[in-house]
Amino acid sequence: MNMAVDLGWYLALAALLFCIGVAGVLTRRNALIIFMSIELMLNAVNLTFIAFSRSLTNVDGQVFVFLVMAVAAAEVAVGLAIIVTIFRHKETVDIDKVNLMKW
Amino acid sequence: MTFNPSDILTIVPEIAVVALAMLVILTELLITRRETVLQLMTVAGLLVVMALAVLTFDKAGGAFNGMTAGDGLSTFMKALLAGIALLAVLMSRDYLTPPTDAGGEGRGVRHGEYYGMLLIATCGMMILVSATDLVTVFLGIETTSIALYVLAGIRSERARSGEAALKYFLLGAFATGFLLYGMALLYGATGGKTNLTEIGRAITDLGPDRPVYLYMGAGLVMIGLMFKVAAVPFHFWAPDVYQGSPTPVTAFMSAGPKAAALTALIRVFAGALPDLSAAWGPALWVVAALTMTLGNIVAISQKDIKRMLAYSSIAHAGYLLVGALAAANTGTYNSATAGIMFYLTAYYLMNIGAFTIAILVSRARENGDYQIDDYKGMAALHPWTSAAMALFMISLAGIPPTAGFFGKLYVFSAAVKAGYISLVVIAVLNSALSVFYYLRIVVYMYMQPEVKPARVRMAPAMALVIVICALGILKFGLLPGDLMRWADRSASMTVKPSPRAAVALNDHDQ
Amino acid sequence: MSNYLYLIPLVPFAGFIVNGLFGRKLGDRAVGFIGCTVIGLAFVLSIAAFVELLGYDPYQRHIEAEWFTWLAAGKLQIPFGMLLDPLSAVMILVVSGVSFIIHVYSIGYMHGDRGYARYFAYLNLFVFFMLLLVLGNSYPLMFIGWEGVGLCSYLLIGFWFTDDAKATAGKKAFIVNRIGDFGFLVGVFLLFGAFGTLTFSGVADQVLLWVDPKTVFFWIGLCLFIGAVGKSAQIPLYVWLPDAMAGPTPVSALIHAATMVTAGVYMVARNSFIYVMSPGALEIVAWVGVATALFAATIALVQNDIKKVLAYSTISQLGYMFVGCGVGAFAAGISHLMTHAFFKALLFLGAGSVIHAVQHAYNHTGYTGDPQDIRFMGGLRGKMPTTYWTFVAATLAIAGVPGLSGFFSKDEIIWKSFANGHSAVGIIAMIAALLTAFYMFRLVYMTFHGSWRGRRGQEDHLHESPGVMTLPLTVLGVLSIIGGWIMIPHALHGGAWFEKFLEPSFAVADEIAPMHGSHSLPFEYTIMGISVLLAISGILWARAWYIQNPEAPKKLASRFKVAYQLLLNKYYVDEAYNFAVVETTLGTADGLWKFFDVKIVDGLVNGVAALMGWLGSIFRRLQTGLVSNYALMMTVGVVIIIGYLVWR
Repeated sequence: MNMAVDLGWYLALAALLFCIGVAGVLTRRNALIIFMSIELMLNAVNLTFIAFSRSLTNVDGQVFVFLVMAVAAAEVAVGLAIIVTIFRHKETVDIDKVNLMKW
Repeated sequence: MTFNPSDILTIVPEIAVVALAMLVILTELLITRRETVLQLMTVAGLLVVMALAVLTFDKAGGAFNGMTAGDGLSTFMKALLAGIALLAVLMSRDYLTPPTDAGGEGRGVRHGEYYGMLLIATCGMMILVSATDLVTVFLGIETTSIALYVLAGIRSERARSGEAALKYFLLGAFATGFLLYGMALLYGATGGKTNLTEIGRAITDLGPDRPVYLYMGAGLVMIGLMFKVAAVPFHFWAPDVYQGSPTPVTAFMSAGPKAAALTALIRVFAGALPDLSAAWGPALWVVAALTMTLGNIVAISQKDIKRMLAYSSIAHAGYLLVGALAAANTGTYNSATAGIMFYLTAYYLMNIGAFTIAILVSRARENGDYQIDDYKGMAALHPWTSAAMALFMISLAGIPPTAGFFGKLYVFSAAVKAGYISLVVIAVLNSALSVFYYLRIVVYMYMQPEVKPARVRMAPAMALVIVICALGILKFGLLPGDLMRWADRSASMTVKPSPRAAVALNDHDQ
Repeated sequence: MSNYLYLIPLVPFAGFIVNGLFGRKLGDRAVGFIGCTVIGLAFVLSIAAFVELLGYDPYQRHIEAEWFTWLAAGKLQIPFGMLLDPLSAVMILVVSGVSFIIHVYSIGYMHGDRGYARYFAYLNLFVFFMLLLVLGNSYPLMFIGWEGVGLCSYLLIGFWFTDDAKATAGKKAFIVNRIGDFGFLVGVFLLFGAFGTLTFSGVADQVLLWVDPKTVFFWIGLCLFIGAVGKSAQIPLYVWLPDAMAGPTPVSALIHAATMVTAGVYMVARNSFIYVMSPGALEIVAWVGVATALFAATIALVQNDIKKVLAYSTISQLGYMFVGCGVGAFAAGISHLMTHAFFKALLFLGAGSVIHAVQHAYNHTGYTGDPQDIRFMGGLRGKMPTTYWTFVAATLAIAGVPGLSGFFSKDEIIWKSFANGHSAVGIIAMIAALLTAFYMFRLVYMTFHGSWRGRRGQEDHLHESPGVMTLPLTVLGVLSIIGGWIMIPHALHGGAWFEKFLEPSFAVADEIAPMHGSHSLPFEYTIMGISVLLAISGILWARAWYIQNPEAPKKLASRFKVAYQLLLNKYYVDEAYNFAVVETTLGTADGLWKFFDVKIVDGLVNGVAALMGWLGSIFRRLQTGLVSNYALMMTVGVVIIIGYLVWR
């Protein structure tokens, strides 16, 4: 089994996922979809960690992934609450409508 | 991998802060909702935390198998962070309970929850300043950020507060993505290391053939920390979030997380990445120069004092980055680190003082606005408040004899020593530029006829905050010796980066 | 030993505290009394310190009293200490002495002003900072004094802030000074980088042992000199001083003539050991000084505002002091600093007395004109004899008439320029001396001689100022006459006592680069003779034009209209600055319009502020308020940084 080649593919896939996430954040206007794209970025990170962890046979990366997942869950809770608040004020979650403060 | 019970001692302040947070939230839920009780409890608790932070000093060394450090740098910063939280709590109550005839500012916020969140953010920052492992850096940043997202939007009845929270949250999470990706790449490139010192060693062992993703990882971690410091071009969230958040939270946010993230920046770059300084050094140089220049230039054209202070805070982040660059690039925790500690203390006092007066003046207006024009002719009506505000502005501008001046002197002279002369020239020019907008407030207060007199009603807690800040600025401006000595001693008692990394660094030293 | 040295600055500070906090409750009499007493005390203490210093051997006259370690952290060790040596002894005597006289004068001049207590509080604070500046034994301490006097100057220029133009003038002074301060600060950083210490004696010790290349001294010297140029109003940063005349006249006398503006000269002299290491930096000092001396003198020729003439004259005289330092004759520069403090303070106070009287006359006749315009004065000689005679004494002194104070100090500077091989500088300085004699006597003739040119009936209301104002004039008049007698050179069989007294302060400089000037006596007499001749011809020239043939200047002005307008408008430098800043940085008609709109319409004289405000209004547009734009901008930043790191 050639680990090096395998690792490369995993990393490439993770990088691709990460870029898709970034692209989603940049192009979407719906706060929820943006949020989902950010979660995609985090999952790309998790994939990277796992891939390295497996290839290096070092569990620290997997521990890191658990922590990332836990924190991401907390972020979801707070984030959704914030989006709900915005929806109450604006009746929309389109982030282009949220620009009271500028300059 | 052993557990040493005495390691607990190094995180006593964190434990105490979390316990306090739980206590305040539960007290509000179960016992009483009286605001005075809750505030006094928090204040007393924070004083204890401060004392604990100072008492744990002298126990320099790593803990929890290198996850955290209980050293001079972290104890100093913990005490400072507790102090920041303390003043923020003191100024919060009168902000959250407006005078009966004023508008609905701050109504409907549960004080216990609010203090609890503030304390949890403080705990996060404390974790961050003592973090010596990528895991703890990440946990510290996230604990801080999530609590701050809530705090920014805690006045959910106001559209601006919600907007601030949303912007902060989306951009913050976005930046977290980059930070984590960087950490993952660093982890892989160094053969499975997460400890900062071990990463430094592993990079040295790699020799000249370093994988590309090592550089990407270093860059992404830098970017993640830059976001927290609000450095250009990752500063865009700051003015909007600062303006929209409740003002005590703004004051807290502009001082605390910046201090914590800078400490982490120094630890990461001096501890883990000194070998790559030839790569990130110039990048950090440019970012520092851009940050202070943009912050100052845009601050000049602001009409809202909170926004002006937000841009001013960006500019100060730039000055601090000059020091951080010097501290990180000389590889040892030296006078530049001590200078940053001094600067942060000074900045915290003058910034919180300025925000407190901003709250007072805005409370005197029916619409609760923060217009700079409101300061016109204030001196005639309120000589003491104006004098204090003038002091804060002079200190922010870095004019002696104030703490702000010595902060700059200390940081910049350390940077010159480290060889960053042209960057310091830019910084000094910038601080000359900043006089324009700081002095404008003074000119308005003292040299303009009053337009619509703002009748400021002083509240005891607010007065206390202003007096503490003013006295602190004068003390550290006239007799900075004590604080400097303490900062210097703390800096010298800091977990050193790995010796090999430090030796290798000398080849890259500028 | 010499523990009372701290008291010298602290006593005025106590006055500031009392007057500042309780001034309004105390009443004007008490405020004036306290204000003058504290300065008087400082003066007495200065004399005591001076006498004590005289008790030592000349080369032991260096007393450093360190109170406590002020800043100590790692390598940065800065004591809070006072340094008393001949140089600072002279400075504290001049500062506290002249301040005392001007404080007394102010009692009369500011009588009845609404801000009486505030005025004395600021003035006391100023003296505190000024004494700190000259007594501090380290660069940071000096810098604190330096910034402090700037702050007080700003507060006092804008003292009557209800007048918008005056507040603006204060701001201009402050901001132009910040440019200089920036130079100072960078110089201090370089010093720390090079020597690792920031006390004067610490740096001086290391300079003596210096073996590395000397370029660092050039840069340190240049940066410090930028600071001096700002504070002492030299080309190109002199623009703030004429505007600073908006403040009360005693303030102009104290801050903008006798003391604060000379801080730059003091600083260069204090750093003599740095400058002698870099002939290039000294050359710059000398040339900037002489250029300023001539340039400001030509502007003074045609000004019609009594205080503006004196302001440009001050700039010109400060130029002389820098010439003295620049040619290596630091003692000569300080000599001129001292005599100038006497006669220029007197001139300003005399001008204040005149303005006071004219304003009084205007008030009585219900006329609201500018009481400072000498075209509408004349014949005041008979009305206010004390003011007239003291004014004439000071004018003779500044013109360089032999026997009076100004002659000895100015002649020494000119002679040293020639003796130390800077003949071109010396010749220009001589031309400026001729112009000085002319414009000063033009001022005397137009103000005091002839007959009253204002409205009829006003002259009946002109009268001499009260005793509390004329007594200071008399004291300063005596000083202007005899103040130079301690510096009579050997060539005139004097003892050159003053120069000898100052010598130890420049001992390090002298050791590094001894000045082997020419000692040819006939040459010295020739130079002296020419100087005297020039002074007298300047006076006669003024007399010919303004007494005997008053039509001559007008004819000339209409014949050389361009030149006259150029001088009258001060070479259009203010305008040129604004224009240059705009033209080079914005380069667009739109920017030009915006700039002038802000500048003229809003009365913001502050060019750079407007420019930066404009830039700020551009850059703030980046902050669109849209999350997606922010995210995009961040991503661009990420791509640039990562791209740089990877493809470096």
